Amino acid sequence: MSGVQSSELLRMEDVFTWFPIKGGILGRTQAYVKAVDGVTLSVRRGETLGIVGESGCGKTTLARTVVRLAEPIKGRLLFDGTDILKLKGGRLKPFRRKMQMVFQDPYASLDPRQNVRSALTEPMHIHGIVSGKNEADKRAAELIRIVGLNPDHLSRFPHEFSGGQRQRIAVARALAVNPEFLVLDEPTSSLDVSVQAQILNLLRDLQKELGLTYLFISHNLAVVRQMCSRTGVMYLGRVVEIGPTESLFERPRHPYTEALLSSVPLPDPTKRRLLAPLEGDVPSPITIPSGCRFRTRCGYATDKCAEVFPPATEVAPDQFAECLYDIDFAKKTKRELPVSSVQ
Amino acid sequence: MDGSTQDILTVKKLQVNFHTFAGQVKALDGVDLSVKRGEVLGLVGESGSGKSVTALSIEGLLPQNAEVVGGQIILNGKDLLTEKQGEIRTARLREMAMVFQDPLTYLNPVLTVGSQILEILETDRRVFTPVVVAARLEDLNKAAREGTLTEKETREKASLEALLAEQTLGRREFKRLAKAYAVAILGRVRLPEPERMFKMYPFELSGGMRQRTMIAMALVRRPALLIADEITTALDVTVQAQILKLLRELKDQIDASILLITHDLAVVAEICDRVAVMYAGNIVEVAEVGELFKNPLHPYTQGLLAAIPRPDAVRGELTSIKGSVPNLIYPPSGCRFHPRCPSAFEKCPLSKPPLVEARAGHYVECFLYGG
Ligand SMILES: Nc1ncnc2c1ncn2[C@@H]1O[C@H](COP(=O)(O)OP(=O)(O)OP(=O)(O)O)[C@@H](O)[C@H]1O
Ligand SMILES: Nc1ncnc2c1ncn2[C@@H]1O[C@H](COP(=O)(O)OP(=O)(O)O)[C@@H](O)[C@H]1O
Ligand SMILES: [Mg+2]
Ligand SMILES: [Mg+2]
Repeated sequence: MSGVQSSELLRMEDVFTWFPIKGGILGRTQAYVKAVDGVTLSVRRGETLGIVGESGCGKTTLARTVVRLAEPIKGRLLFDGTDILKLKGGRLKPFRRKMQMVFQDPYASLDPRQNVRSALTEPMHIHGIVSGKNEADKRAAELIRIVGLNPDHLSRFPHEFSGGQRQRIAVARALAVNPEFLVLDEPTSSLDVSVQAQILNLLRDLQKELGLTYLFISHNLAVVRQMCSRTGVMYLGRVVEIGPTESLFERPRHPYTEALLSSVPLPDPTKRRLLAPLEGDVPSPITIPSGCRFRTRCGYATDKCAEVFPPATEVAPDQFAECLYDIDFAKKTKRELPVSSVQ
Repeated sequence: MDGSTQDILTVKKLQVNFHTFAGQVKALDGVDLSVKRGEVLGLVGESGSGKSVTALSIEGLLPQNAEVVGGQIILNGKDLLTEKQGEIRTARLREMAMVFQDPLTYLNPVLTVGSQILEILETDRRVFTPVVVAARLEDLNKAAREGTLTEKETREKASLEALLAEQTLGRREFKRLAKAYAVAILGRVRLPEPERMFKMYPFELSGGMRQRTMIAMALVRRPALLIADEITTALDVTVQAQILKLLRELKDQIDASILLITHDLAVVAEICDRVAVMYAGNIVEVAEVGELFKNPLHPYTQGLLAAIPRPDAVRGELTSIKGSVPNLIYPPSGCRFHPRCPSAFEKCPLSKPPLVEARAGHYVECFLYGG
């Protein structure tokens, strides 16, 4: 794949990011936390791909792997056709500029001793995209306006801003180096609802104006539904279902997606439904169940699910699920799980 | 909004300030709130609106730097701000219990779940004697009805009935009953294998199990009022659904009122009977849940409802409320929402609007509706 005319800006192929757990007196590796455990996906130019899933399923690790803050043990990571896992140092630097990340907690990603102007101009100098201080300052003033603040704010420090304003600054900082691709890890999770909408609108507008591509990570399914053209659902380190947001939400085909969606309360008292479809907790990412990793909590699981690894199957146009069964068929033949599955 | 007798809790004009280096935080600016018997009242608002401060005031757990400047907190007829200390403590112990967002801060890491529950009961043995005896008697009475009572149990039943009248119980006997009662409560919050759970330490439990443990610790007291402050906020949606389902089941079994505090309007829609909306230290709107979602009156409530993304439909442009929550050291004058309000007019910055009944049972604190 040359990637020259490809609609894929980023492609992950069979990526594994495992963290070793050391122990014993010799400090040998005793096991691995399989945070990302064989992910294949692509992000298409100009789209917003959402990633949802429960806490600990590997969303942040996936994001960190993409921007090369976490080192995968295996896999290929193609940016515009180039496998950036093979690049180091100077050859990686231009790619680092093209991909920027915005974190959940803008307080953690902004240096408290650095004022906004230097937070914005520092990355410009690092990546040499401005020729001098004047140009950098001019660009900083422009950026701060783009994100809805004003140039007065440039000489202030992070603690002088509200959460929403800090997230605007974090976005401005990410934009400072003219990226093509933004990885947004829970960009509004620390914000109030009334402010969340401001940031989501800002991100949408910026995407339109600057032609950006987003990988948008969130545990909030409602936010993902509003923001993303396609959505991937992660469970224990794998993307178990991925497809166009509309059809995935309207007709989920993986039992986990179905359960996750029906756990979300609706802001509408005339539609009370809470089914609590899933019992128990997510298993540990150290000892992942054999076969289908969701089978221990799946209402439709059969003996075969413990033995066979479910391959990704196209279940609807452009929608793929890692499940052995057709969900409608599974529903019809559903056998009750024993009550002891609680735990 | 009187009807005090049918209210388990009434908060009137509660004002609380915090003394800090930066100045006085005027956290509660005259909060009016009542929880009716048997209802689930949702208290909803964004962070910093004063939900937790309200809860802590009711529970008597405000930190040292807080000052109650004025108002009343009436729990089952007793004013918690004026009554004698001893009386208040007993009233709180008997009538209410609280569950918080982060169970780990409130669970003792070096004690098993079981010993923590026993500690609650044993510290106030006198208060809880009737509770543990009644719990055992319920079991025995049930067995008696079903005709499965052994001879030994028949004797136990008679002696417990006598004890209940005298209100005294030996230490060992208390402990035996308390333990059985605690295990039963762990089962009631649907923790698997309650006997085993009884012996486990908090770090051995998942987030959802810890929260169930906290709920169990609240329920052992058989409270008439359960205050739950953001108890599902730190949990995944799937676990949140489990806990909300549990609360709904429990509500019917335990015959308690619940004050459910959350920033999430979807959670409110899912399990509350009535809702109070809080903004910057004021209750700005109160209504029955269906009514509030159908006819939100306060511009803040309207803005909030328009700003929540829905999982079941796509909205083009998301509506947001301009600006952000004010700093309560320098709160805006008059109606505290006026700087962000799209409908503000001359009157709004001048004085605080009163809470008026704009529709039947639907109260709002906004000059658009009179006052
Ligand atoms: N540096 C690390 N060393 C060891 N384990 C790690 C490391 N980073 C993450 N993990 C583990 O990998 C798994 C996935 O973590 P990750 O942070 O990617 O989850 P997440 O989906 O982003 O969760 P959340 O929704 O809570 O943010 C977890 O079990 C986590 O504890
Ligand atoms: N211990 C404290 N010291 C000073 N200010 C406090 C303290 N606790 C709460 N506040 C302030 O009181 C207001 C209400 O806070 P809180 O009740 O915690 O809000 P929430 O609605 O998020 O629960 C906020 O302005 C907060 O900063
Ligand atoms: Mg994360
Ligand atoms: Mg709070």
